Amino acid sequence: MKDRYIPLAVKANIVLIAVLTLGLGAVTFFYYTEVNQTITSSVQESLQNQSKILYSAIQNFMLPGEAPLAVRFFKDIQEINPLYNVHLYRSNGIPAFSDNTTIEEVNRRIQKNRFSPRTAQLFQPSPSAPPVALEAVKSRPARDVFEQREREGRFQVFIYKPLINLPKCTLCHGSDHTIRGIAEISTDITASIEKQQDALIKAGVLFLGALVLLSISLGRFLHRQILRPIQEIGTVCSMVTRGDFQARTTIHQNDEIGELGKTVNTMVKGLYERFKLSKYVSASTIQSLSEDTSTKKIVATVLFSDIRGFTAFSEKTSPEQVVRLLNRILSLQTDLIHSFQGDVDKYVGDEIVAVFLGEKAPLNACRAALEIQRAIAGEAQEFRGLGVGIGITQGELIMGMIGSEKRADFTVIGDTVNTASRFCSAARQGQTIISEPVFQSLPSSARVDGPFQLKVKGKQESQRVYILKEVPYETPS
Amino acid sequence: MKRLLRKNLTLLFGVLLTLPFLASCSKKEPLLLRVSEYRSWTKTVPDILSYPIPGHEDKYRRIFISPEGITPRIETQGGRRHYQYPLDTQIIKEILPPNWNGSDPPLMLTAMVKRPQDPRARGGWLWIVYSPGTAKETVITEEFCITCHGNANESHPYGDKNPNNEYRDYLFFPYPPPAPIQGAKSNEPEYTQY
Repeated sequence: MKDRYIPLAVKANIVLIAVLTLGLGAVTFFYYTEVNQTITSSVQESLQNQSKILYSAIQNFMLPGEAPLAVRFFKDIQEINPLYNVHLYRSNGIPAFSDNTTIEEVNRRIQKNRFSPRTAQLFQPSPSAPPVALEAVKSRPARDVFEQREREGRFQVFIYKPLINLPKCTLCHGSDHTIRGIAEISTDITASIEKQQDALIKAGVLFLGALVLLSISLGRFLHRQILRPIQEIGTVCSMVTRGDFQARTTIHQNDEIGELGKTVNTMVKGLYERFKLSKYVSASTIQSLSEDTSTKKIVATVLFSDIRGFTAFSEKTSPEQVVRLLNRILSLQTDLIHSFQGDVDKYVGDEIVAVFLGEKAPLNACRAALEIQRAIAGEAQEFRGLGVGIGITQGELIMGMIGSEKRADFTVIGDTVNTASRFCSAARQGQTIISEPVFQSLPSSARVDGPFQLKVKGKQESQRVYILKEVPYETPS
Repeated sequence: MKRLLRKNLTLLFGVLLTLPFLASCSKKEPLLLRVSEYRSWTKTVPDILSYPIPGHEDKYRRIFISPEGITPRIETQGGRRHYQYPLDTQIIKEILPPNWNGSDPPLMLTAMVKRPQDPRARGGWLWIVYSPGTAKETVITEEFCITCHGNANESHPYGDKNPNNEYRDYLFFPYPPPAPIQGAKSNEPEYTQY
């Protein structure tokens, strides 16, 4: 599966927005829930304190038997603040002061008609306590019960406070029960809730604003400080890949990215120097820099080329002209050697030593030699009648780093190389002398003169050689 | 070898992380109440309290006071007697079944432990419920207990009825017992005109 290309800028923005959303979202959520909890507990605490005051007031009204005062007190509270409600229930949930049951019971218990029954007109019609209020009675130990209700868009908080049958109450109300009644206090907190919601909306808007602002700011920062320099470095690398060694980064930052830009510039400069150096050394030398440089014995084809009559020519021609013409002839030969996968091992004065490797090395070397002879002959006038003699041999030779630690060449030596040099010396202008192994490697269509016996320096026996005439190119069928 | 070492280190790290958690789970708070010895303590009321009262209704009660509380500091402040029980005094009330036969175990223990510095204390006392079945001790932080016992610091219907509104440190039956009121019925609540 091919990996989808996602630009770094997109990735950075995704991470940025995710982090900001989670971070700021968590803070906003925490803030909102904390505020919500604080308001709720504050309202509950306030109601609880109020219920204690109310409880105390109820005790003070009831102990001297002044129940009507308690009823009046509740009414007054409600008139002062209509959002604030106080109700009193008996422990069974029936509204207190709704009939004469308690009065009759107390009179019976104290065996006196101390409290006069009231007429029905004085009773306040009121609903019974909700089931949640009875939880305050049932729980052991009895505890306050809170409830929040929403009805028709209004929010109310209720506290149901159990009224304990205190020892001093037992004288009138008896000792057989623990809870005398339930005080219900409720308050409307719609305004607080609306403020909360308002605060939430404001926090949300702030959150989004901050998110957008931070995303843009951080995105711009990342783009300017990281992404753009990286893109510039990428562009320079692409230009160098295409061969433009003049490309340089222009990052002026005093940070890691700036250092990277400087390093890339230094690297490109180094590459350019190495590229220029490659003109002066053989491909095998360059290759040896990145590969194994150990000395090894290989089988290769060696081509030796030497300009005939060059010494005499140079004596009667200006040095500038000599060098210009020599370079032209060497360049022509070098290009052709390269075009047949050969490597110029070295130039020695007007000589070229080239090495061909691989299965087709003899064939490639012979074709390169024939093309060199043809090209030089074709431009005989341009080259002032100069021509080359070429010798080609095939066999084992030693390849290795030859020289000192300070200056060395990765080159070839051995009998095959020396023999090629001798063949080259023996070849007349326009001639290419090849060895028996080279001839044997050529196709049968190759045209040669020979064989001839050639006595060369350093060899006791004559060498069987051929003068190469033509190696036809195969016509595609 | 390296892999085995890494595996063992991971295991060790996991165990080290889990140990404190397990330790905290298994750690049990010691009981405040000296439940194994309270029956050898002095009773604040010689009799079993059998009349119904709010909070315990028709259940029978026996009340014990720990040795620390035998000699409370009693001083007069502004013409009013103040009882002040020493730190760590424990008062344990056995809640017994109605018509207790003398051998049934208590249904529960309700207790007061003098610990004024404890944030859970109300009126200087920790109010505790102990369940013998589960051996679980619960500190009551609601005002239920203290609301009722607050009446002990003024005239009330129990015992000597605290006729002089003494500050009895929330005990209806303080120790040492105050002198009984002449003519009052023993341990029976009576209507008092406030």
